[in-house]
Amino acid sequence: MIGYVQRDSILHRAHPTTILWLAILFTTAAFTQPATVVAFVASAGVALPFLARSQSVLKSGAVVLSPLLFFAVLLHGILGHDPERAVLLGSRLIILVMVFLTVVAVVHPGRLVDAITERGVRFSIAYLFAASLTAVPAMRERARLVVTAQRCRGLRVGRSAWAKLRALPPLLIPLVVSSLESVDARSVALAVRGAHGATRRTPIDPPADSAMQRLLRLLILMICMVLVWLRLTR
Amino acid sequence: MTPRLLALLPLAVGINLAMSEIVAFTGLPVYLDTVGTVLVAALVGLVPALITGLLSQVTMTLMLGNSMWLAFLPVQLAVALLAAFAVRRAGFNSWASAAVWGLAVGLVAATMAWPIAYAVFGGVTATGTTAIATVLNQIGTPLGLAVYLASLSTDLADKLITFLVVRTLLKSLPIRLAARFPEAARALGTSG
Repeated sequence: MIGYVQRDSILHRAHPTTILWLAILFTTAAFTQPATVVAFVASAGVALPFLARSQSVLKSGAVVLSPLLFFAVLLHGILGHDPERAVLLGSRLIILVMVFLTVVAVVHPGRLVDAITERGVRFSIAYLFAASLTAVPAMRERARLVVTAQRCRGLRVGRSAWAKLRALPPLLIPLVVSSLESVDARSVALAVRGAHGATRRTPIDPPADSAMQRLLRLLILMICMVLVWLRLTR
Repeated sequence: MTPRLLALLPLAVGINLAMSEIVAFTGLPVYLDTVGTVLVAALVGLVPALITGLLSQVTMTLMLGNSMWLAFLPVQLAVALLAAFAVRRAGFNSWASAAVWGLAVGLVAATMAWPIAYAVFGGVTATGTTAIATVLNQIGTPLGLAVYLASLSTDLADKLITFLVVRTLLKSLPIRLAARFPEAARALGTSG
């Protein structure tokens, strides 16, 4: 899994919602335009990691895209004898992967939470989003620990499907029960911090925004609407 | 949104996305990426399960950097909805009942995922499912049907095991912990 990559680039300095709108623009183009236009947009999508100064995004993108592009070319270009559809699907996949990998690399989750909190979104919603992002690596690590502990206690996975299924309860029960045990303590901590309150919170250091970026986001919205209108009237 | 739910839902999302570690160790050809969602439906009901499904899909998209998964959000929400419905019908009160509900949810999930996988992505989605569809297509199955059959085979097994796993978890909850989640008793058919 790729995460935030700290760099100093024009994309890193942009407001998080500007980056999200950029991603929406690329995605809208991917699903509303013909193959040739989508292919051009895909090449622009591949250029985004260079704008973000994050070549690691290209490597991660290559790993994710390789099997998908292989099957797109095989299923539609070779077996389906429809190269235009192969180009459309392949370009669409490139856009979906490269653009969102770039978004993940340039938008820090904390900055995104500050940005949406500043917009007036309730703290509970922002918290759910941020807590989910941080819960996943912690839960993965806990799962790895459970697997190691149970293997030390003699857990072995047999070859048959039934043997594999039998291995699930000793792995899942400790993981889930220990997680549920922590709900009470977490809920008390959230309650004393007023997490469920309706009071609007003020971020200490919200991401910088500018009139130019607000205008850019408005322009992106209008372009998306035009793209959808063109698709509907084609 | 109570503090209890604020504490529980991210953990359930974490369970959904951490299942890959467990599945990789066992070598089972399934995802089990809705265990957390179905568990939340059984513990606290429909709306929290829907939120868990939504958060899981968004988080998975951000963590894998592949926005393709966002297109399958309706499938996650349908699983949450059906799981909550199963809870109301005490669908986890026996192994047979949980299995039947799991297969039913798998059927619905595959049927909902098919138009997304085929029409939007031309059948090119997860590597394993796409490989099955390719093989089926090669032996003469029309691509649309091949995509559906591939999706059905993985979803039936995945949701069947998911529901059986959740029943195991509900039965294994310590009494003290189960008392905090009254819905769990309804799911098991033991509530008054």
